[in-house]
Amino acid sequence: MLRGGLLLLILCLPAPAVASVADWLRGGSAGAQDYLPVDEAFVPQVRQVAPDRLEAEWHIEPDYYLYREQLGVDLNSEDLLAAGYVTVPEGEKKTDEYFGTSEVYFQRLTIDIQLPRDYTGETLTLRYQGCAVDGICYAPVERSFNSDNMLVDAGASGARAGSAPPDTAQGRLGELLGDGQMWLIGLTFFGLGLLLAFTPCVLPMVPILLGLITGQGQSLTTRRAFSLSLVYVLAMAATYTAAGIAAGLLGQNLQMWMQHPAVLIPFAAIMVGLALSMFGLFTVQVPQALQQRLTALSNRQRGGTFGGAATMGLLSALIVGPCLAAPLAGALIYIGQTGDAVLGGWALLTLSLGMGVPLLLAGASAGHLLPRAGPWMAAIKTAFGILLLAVAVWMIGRLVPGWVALVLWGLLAFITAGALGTFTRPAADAGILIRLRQGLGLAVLAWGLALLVGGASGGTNPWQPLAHLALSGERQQQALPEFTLIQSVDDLERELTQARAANQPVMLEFYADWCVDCIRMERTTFRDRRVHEALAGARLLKADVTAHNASDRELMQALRVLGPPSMLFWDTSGQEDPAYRVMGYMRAGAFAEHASQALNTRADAREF
Amino acid sequence: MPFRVKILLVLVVAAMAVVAGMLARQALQPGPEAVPDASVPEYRPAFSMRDIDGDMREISEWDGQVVLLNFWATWCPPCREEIPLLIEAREQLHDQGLEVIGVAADDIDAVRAFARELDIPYPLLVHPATSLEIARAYGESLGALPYSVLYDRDGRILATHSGEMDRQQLQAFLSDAFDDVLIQHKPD
Repeated sequence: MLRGGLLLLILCLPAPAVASVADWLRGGSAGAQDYLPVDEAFVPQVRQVAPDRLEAEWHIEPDYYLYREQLGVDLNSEDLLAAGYVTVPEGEKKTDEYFGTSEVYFQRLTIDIQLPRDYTGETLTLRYQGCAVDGICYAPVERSFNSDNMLVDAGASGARAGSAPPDTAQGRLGELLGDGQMWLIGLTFFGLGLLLAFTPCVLPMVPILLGLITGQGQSLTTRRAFSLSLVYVLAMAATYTAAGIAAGLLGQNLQMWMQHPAVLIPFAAIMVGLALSMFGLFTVQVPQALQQRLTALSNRQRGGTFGGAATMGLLSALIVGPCLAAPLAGALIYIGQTGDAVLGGWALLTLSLGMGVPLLLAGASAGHLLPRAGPWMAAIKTAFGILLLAVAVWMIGRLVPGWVALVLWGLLAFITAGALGTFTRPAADAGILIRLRQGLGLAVLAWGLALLVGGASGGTNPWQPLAHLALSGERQQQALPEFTLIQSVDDLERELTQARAANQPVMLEFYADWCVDCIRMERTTFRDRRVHEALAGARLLKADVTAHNASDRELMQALRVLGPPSMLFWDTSGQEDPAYRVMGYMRAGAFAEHASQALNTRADAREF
Repeated sequence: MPFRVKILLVLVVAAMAVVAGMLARQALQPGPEAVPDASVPEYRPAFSMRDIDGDMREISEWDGQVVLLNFWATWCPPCREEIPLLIEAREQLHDQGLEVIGVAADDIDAVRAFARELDIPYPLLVHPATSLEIARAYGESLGALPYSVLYDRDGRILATHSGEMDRQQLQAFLSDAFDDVLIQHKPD
């Protein structure tokens, strides 16, 4: 009934009214003005698909299009498109009564860029121009990309899962080794492995293990004992390496999910749990039943033979003791996060070699070179706990605002200080080592305090947690310099005459309340210490053209100033050099340099 | 020191650090004063530019008239489509004080050729790059053309419009300065 009435009403309306309603429904007159900003209409992205190949892709909003003719691709200002390195697909034909037919792209445009050499992080500039179907054209734009904002396919650097031929994997290894990163990673994991070997559940086992490998009761040469230990360690390393590669591959295939909070948060929670287990709150280990079966299997191997030692090594990696389980799980999750199989294999290989060192030492020296087991091993366990917490903070740090991450790092520093015994009163006869450790703990505590203060005040940089305070503090201290307000050409003439008499250079700023850049200048640039120094001694004038009245306009016309913000400079002889004019916003550093040049040129020239 | 007292001490120190940080932030940060958006100025900013004859012109030359500033380019099809309508409007309202000024973000030769073809009767100023900057100074925020600004005899900006205008829109646009404008079709 209601609907019928409405229809009748519409039918009775005069035609123009209906037309304008229809217009309104189509989003005609009202909607036509809601055009998108250019960076929302056309969203470019660059992806590296091979060491020497890039792919640029534009996501184009519906009803917007790009012109083929206006495309440009520059690498460090070398025109790649003109040089024939770029493959552009054919576009749709669009006929224009003035320009004739041109090719345009709707929805999506992908171009292939075959570089003349391997890409090494140079700036790639995309130039493009487009329009909306109904009534607006964007000015040509340039957007630049480099390795910071470029996507990189896993395959581009040679580590793509399975499909990559072995030589690319080697290439990747070489690449990592080449820039020294791989050595660093290897060294780190080797060190971690070494530390793991000195945890309470590993070190005491070494002599027993040695006995098992070499076959109890037999007398062997040191050389043979070492060789058997080496075989055992290498076999163990093989298992761990495989685990590392597997974790990397798994992470690679789950890369997208690995960045998702729903995955990151539980993983971080697991890390915290593992850390607590390292602190001795509970034990994490492979299920007892499985462990017993593996141990039995291992025990059946004949000691003293290479085959036996190898099998024992392979199996031992699976019998993960309570001290190893948590750090290993941590390492594997970390590798999964990186999604890098080569890195994963390499990391766990070096880790397990590090773990094997005590056994090799024992084998080579019949146990003489091993440090004695003792309570000091508990400290290593705690260190691993802190490391796991650090990994947890690292994972969460990518999800939360920077200042929250800073607070978390600060708390971790507090925990570390506690573990170093900072909050424990040392015994009266405490040795120098304990006192040193406490001193170190105090340093960590101080850093933690800085992190907490920094985080709570909105800082984000864990290496310089208080930098933002220092900066804003300095900026805040500087008041605006003293400007003399002028309102007319007469005012300006008078001020210039006085300045010349006083042998003073002059800067004139055109300012208006409605000018965003002017306000930015006043809030930042003109409050900067360097700018104050550059302007020291100069007569500072300000023309406030907010009202834009006749005398404002006269002043702007007399000086041929387009609009605010504009900064003009006169030297001590009263000459204005138009080359030194600043139009628009300028950052403090650049402005300070510019202003000191602009105000001092003539003075310098006279000195010579 | 008993263990619990130690924990308490650590927590107190941590809490103090957090409070100190927050206080520092409050003390040091500028207040929540909002920076105004880049928006349309109240009065038309001054500028000068060469016209298609190569003469330097000041925008103030047309003060005292109602001015429709039209930022455009020949490479922009909707801009070109709009121009016949602007010519019509100028023809009908010139007596009542309307002047249309085209500001082209283009090469002078392209503009000259196009002006000849359409016989554009109003002044055309040309500069490939500066035109867009000036459009921005006049409140254009998308980096797009066409963009039109209407200001009164005192230079006070009355209306702005992004994108091509159809007849109805142009009438609505001009109605801020002229009551009951009706841009009629020219009888052929």
